[in-house]
Amino acid sequence: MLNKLPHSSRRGFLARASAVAATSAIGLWGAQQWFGNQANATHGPDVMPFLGKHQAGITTPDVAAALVVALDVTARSQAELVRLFQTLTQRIEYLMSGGTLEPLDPKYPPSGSGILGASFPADNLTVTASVGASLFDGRYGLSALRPRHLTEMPKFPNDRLDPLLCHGDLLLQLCANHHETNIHALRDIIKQLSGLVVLRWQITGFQQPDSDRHPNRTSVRNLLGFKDGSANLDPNHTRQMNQRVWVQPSHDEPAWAVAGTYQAVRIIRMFVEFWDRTPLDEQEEIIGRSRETGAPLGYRREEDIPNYAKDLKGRTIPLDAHIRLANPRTPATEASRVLRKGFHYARGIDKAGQLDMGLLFIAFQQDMQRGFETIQNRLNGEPLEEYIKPIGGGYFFALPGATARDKYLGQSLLEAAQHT
Amino acid sequence: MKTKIWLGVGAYLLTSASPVVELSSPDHPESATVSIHLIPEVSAQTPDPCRRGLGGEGGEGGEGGEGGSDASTTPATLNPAVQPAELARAVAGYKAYVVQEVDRLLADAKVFTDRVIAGDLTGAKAVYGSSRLGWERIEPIAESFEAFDRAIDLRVDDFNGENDPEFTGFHRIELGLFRYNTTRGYEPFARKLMEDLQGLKTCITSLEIEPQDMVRGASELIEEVSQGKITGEEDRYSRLDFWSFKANVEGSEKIVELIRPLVTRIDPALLQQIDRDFAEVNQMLTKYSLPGGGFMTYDRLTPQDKQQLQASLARLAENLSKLRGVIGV
Repeated sequence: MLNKLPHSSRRGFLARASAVAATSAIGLWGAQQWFGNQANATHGPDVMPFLGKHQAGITTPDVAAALVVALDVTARSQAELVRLFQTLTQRIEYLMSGGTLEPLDPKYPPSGSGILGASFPADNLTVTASVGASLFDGRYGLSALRPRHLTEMPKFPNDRLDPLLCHGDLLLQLCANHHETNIHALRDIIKQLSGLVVLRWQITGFQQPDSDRHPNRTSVRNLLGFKDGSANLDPNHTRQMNQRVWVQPSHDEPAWAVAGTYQAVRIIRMFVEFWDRTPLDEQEEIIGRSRETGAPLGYRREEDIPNYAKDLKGRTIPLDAHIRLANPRTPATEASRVLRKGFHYARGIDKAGQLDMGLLFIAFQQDMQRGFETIQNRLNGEPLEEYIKPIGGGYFFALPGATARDKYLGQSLLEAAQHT
Repeated sequence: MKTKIWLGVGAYLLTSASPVVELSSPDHPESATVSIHLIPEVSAQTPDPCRRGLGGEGGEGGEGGEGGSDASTTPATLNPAVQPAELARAVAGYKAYVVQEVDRLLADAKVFTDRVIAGDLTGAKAVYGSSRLGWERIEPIAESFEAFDRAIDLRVDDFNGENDPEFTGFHRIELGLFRYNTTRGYEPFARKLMEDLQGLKTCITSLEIEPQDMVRGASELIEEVSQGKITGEEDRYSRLDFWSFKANVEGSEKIVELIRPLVTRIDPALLQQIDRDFAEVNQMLTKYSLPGGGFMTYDRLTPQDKQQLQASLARLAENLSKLRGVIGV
């Protein structure tokens, strides 16, 4: 039935999935033939490179669908932890490349969930693996190797953290063009890691990817209706990334951590009904930007850089406006800038009968305290707090990338542990 | 509260289509002499009380089935390393086990329900956990008779609240004993439970077990634990979940024991894994067992141990899910 749908009426992803479904229906030979004809598809524009100095999914362009999953590690030994990371690496590489499910005797459970058909597209999937502070407790002999700024995420003054949405030994950030691709990947990984990990919490994020190529503009609006991410770091700016995001050899960090980065995840509930009942001028003063254009108050264009030195009393942009506290635009505060990713989340209705939605905020930085914590401490007490409530998340460290086929994610960490 | 409970029973009796119902005054439940016909809905509305539901494939109208010989239960896909006769022996061994467990279930449940009927609250509570072991060991077979599963083992969540007249069986009595601390008004449920268990036995005795059902059962028992038991929702009033937990695991281990000679020959590494997984789960259960027999209450399970159990069970379930493929049934 699926193969009768006109491909032209569907997006490429679905067209491809249905083509696969059609071929799988006529058997393996058909599938192989189809795949042979499409051989270059696995190296097409929807494949994110897996190998590299840094992991994919950090400076990678934003996509529409995110799935953030925290896991606790139940491996019984350091050797099992090595197996965990090896298996994880192998699965991520396989899933990010797109491919074909291995056909098995039907008396076995199938080799994959099949939710994308017998063949699955890469679909710009990235899976980024990070470790939490709790992995460095005594269990695996990693205590001496904890990145220096990796702690359990503290509770900030406005936080109301739900223990069922916080922390974890391991974090997987899955990003792709479609949610099904993330779910397909997660189910594969969970199956392959059975016994070694248990799920701790997860949250689904979504967004319309940024369609504005200007580095200081964005088409993305958060669920408060405001442009979000206008003044983000430019992920294509290598020097900026090396200054602000990637851990460098010169840093006072364990050597294994070089080329990794600190990852702050915050699940920030927004009280959208209340916000929608707030007059526009109040909303704009709280944020510090025009809702429509994204321009800082008193400026014309979104990319304009507000000159706070000329507005010391906050007459144009209030001193406690969100954008002014988040990025004061002074040489001294430049070092606190982070590379951020934002997704919306929506999880139904809360106990009060209000919409439970908000921002799945992810920030990457070279130093958790210099980056996210410094910004958050400036924001503490901001007027926006009346409309938002951080409810979960955690601090993690995104592992350095796997640089070659025979390397695995976390190898530098585990090898350092074996030598101590 | 008691009145409410009694009204529940009364409503049940009144709505049931049983031909044999005697009902005394609802004002004096303690003096009630109630006799309920064996699963009234079934006998009244459907001709076959042994009708099998989900997970009971091969029972009615399935492959092979009725009065089949060894040949009819030997699948064409059987791994060449397996002799049809030894598979048949394993299945016969399992049938014997199932019958033995249903007999044990009847005996244990008799002790339990007699105490409920006699108003021996402490005595009934003391044997609640052990009274269910037979059921839990053969759960995939037992619960495949859907009318009996509904009558005997469903939890309150499957009904419209705890006073739903359809809510009967072990957990209805557990509710009375452990939440309301009483046997009063639960005597009819005790009697009905015994009658339902008798009916179950009749169905099981005439059941022909397919090799596939048996092998799948090993997985199903562990899925049962992973989904329902690990959460502590099974025996929520008594907190005796570890008893059911352990019995499910034993039922799965029994199946693996029976097919061990076959699997050893084909995939010894998988068998080793499975043995290790069972050992991990059992080690954890031992940690929560009591010196005099039995288990601590489920609320004693620490979050860390729960995670370890979850992990061990997940791996065990993955490994068991390969057994049908390995044997070729």
